[in-house]
Amino acid sequence: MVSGPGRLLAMCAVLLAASPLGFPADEARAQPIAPAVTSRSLSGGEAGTILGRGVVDSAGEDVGPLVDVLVDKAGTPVAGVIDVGGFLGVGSRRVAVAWRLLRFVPDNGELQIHLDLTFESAAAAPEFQGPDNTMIVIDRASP
Amino acid sequence: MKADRGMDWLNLLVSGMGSAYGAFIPVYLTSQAWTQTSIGLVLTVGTVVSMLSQVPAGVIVDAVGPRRRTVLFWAICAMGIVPLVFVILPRGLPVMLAMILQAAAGSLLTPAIAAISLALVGREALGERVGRNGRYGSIGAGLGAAVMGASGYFGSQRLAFVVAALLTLPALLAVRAIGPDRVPITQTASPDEEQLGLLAPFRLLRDRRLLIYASCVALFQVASIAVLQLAAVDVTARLGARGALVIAAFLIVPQLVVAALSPWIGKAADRWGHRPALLAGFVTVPIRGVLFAMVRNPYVLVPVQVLEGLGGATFGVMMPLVAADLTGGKRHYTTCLSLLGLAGGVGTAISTALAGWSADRFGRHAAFWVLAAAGVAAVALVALAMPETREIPARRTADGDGPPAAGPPGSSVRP
Repeated sequence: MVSGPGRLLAMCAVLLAASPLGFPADEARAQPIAPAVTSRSLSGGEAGTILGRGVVDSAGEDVGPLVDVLVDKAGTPVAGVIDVGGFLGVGSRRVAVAWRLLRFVPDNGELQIHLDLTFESAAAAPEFQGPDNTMIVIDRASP
Repeated sequence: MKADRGMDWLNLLVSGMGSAYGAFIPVYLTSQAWTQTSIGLVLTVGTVVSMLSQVPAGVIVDAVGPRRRTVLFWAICAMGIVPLVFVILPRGLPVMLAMILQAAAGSLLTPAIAAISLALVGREALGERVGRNGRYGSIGAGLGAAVMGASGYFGSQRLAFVVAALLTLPALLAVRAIGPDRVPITQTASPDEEQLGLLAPFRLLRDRRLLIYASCVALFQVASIAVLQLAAVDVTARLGARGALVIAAFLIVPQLVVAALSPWIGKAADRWGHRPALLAGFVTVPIRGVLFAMVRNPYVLVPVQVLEGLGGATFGVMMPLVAADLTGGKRHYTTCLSLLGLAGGVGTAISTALAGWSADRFGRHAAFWVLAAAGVAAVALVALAMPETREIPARRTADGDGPPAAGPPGSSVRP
């Protein structure tokens, strides 16, 4: 363990090393490798933001907002986390539903999120406890 | 008269400002593409700052004396800026700073309003005054929630934030209407007390009555706070879409009871004694806990929420009254009040954690029993350890309609 002033010096050194001022050569070296950037425009019907958007159940009832997306190591979505039910933020339950139960329907330039489950079955499903616990994902039983 | 009305409006508006968007923050930030982790972080920072700033805020309000109205003025201005930040700059650093500002200003509001109430009516009429504070605070919270609900319904989440910011102006007008102190809080102190200053909180903690009451306050919150959360989640799971209506009823019933009964509870406490009033309020907590543990039908539980209103109203009215008792309504009044507020905050945090832990381990049903047990402990502590703190003669004696020999000669003659 380094003592007081020594530790401060060491921290300064680390900060200096991490800052761009420390090694200007690094930036110069990185420049030629940077890939060229292109851009393309998407219409609202092609793609849209989904976090915070309300999810509607099979009967058209507002279930609650989509608050997170679970992906596997390839980055493919596995499940969407919905904050189901409640009133003014009281009594809502976090439920993770299999990604295939969610359908994204363009509507007036925005994506509508439809859930292929009823509100009741989503609300009664086991709660999603967060990434630190066993993650339970709801899916429809295969016929 | 004008000052009393001003105080009513102040409580209504300040409470409305907070509740118009408070519960909305996670939903709103999610819609602004915030991740759950960063939302959790800013909410935690807000809670921590709120806890840490409680006692310093109480000390500050005590220290500024009659200039507490200026403190209140700036605290309200700060509360008005916060929702605007959410609307205009919903990004990391501004929102974080806004949450810190909101927590710190919120910590100042409570003691400032309490001290102004005391300076407005004096200790003899404080019961009725804090009862009215409770009534209008509850009405304000209800109206604020209605604004939030309406803005959610009309799909414009920003509306709630804008309305909350606009309420700053009438709130500042209400502060103006209150005017100067009518019953100045005594500033004279004994010589050794004079040197206290920042050490006041530690000195106050030597009072055994304060320690006992702070424990009662913490236990009350442990037993009360998580009941609604547990029950509401259960209602959602059982009733699905119809659950929202039942949860709304769970929230509104106690608000109505608080609005209807708070002033009466304040007057009754000053008439019959502070200890009996405390006991009556605390008894509702374990009863409610047991009923929530035993009754499974959510609709039957709606009238049970009257008990939350009764307990909450008594809790809210008694805290400033007992703090005034413990400090003699003098110098360290709001410091004392803030220590009690901190105890309540700790109780709130424990309640949520305890309920979550016991629901995970033993099931939701058992969690209600754990909370009810904490309620029994709270009642036992009041019944066995808490002394009567009221020292001044009852108000009716001073008015001259009680036993005539109670006060010193001349005390029943009013100017």
